[in-house]
Amino acid sequence: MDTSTFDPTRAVVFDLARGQVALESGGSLLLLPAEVVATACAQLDATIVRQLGAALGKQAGARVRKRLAQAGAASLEQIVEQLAGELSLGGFGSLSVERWGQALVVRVDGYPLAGHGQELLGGYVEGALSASVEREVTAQPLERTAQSLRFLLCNRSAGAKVKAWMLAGSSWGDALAALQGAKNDVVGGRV
Amino acid sequence: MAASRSMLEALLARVQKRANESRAVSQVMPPLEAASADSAETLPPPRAALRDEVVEEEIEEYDDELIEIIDDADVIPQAAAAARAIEPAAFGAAFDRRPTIASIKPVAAAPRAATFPAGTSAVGTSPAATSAVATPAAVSAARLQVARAAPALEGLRAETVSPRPIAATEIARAQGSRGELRATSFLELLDASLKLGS
Repeated sequence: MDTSTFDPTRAVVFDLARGQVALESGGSLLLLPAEVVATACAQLDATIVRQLGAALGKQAGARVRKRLAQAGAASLEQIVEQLAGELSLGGFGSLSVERWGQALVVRVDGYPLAGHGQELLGGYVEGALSASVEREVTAQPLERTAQSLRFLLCNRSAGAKVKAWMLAGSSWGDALAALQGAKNDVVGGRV
Repeated sequence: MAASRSMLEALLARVQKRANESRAVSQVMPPLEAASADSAETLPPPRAALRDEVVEEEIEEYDDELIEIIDDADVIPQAAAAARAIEPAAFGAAFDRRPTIASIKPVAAAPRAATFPAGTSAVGTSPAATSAVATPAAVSAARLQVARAAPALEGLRAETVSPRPIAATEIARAQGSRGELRATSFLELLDASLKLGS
């Protein structure tokens, strides 16, 4: 059975003598309860929360870029495995990528902040892709359930259209179909 | 309908004679109830079944003749008196022609059995019928009902229409398998997604 290209061996170092937690690359970490972060996300402005998420994502994307010799030529599977590994280490949930027609959709299951941390995760995805493959991406929220989120990877203009359609009552499936100028018969694929 | 006295007398004599013959036959043959009361599921012997049919036909024939006689009773009172004296019970038939309450149950079960697929036994689908034949009189009535219902069930044969074989054709067209999607360049896919809506 093939295994993931993401190797988490000793990715997190607990230095109990010094009272510190650090990643293998050297960055220090704080272990915070998810409830505390959720409360903070609910109290803070959405833009600030998104910027916070983007900062976290950029650090993750930089590590991905460092591990992949040629991130620009990486396959979808490699990027998914690396991003999912980073997200798992941070306790943000399990990431996968779906393709609906031409549209790429990031899905995160088991996200502990799904109730209040949508902007945090959206910013995380945007920052990670910016740092790893050098693309300015808008992670437009499509769906939010109790423990899962879906984001459309699109440009800023398309994100605004999708947001407007969904505010007008369209489902995210219809919005994706409309974005591609077709009826809602696109066939989804998932990695 | 008017009938002459000589014709009626001849008819009455014929009926009385055949009634006496039937009584004699019933005395020679064992009672039907005794032959069938052992088990409700045991089929009647061929001879007894044949006798049932003969007696049934005779009774129906006599009924028609008696009805005609009774219809003329206002014209010939003595003919009516003679006709009343000849009751079906006088034939010595060992069963009740009119179904009892218990014997009605198998009648109700017969059409229901016709709704089951072929091969389903009507006996197996009607526990009520089994309990209804606990008495000898009910056994006799049930036999009559089964004999009458059998032709009707034969007529209820299911006609099945099955789809003809479908020729192999390409129903859905897929653009690349999952394995190919995994190996596709991420930037290629991301750029295609970023072009949407612009």
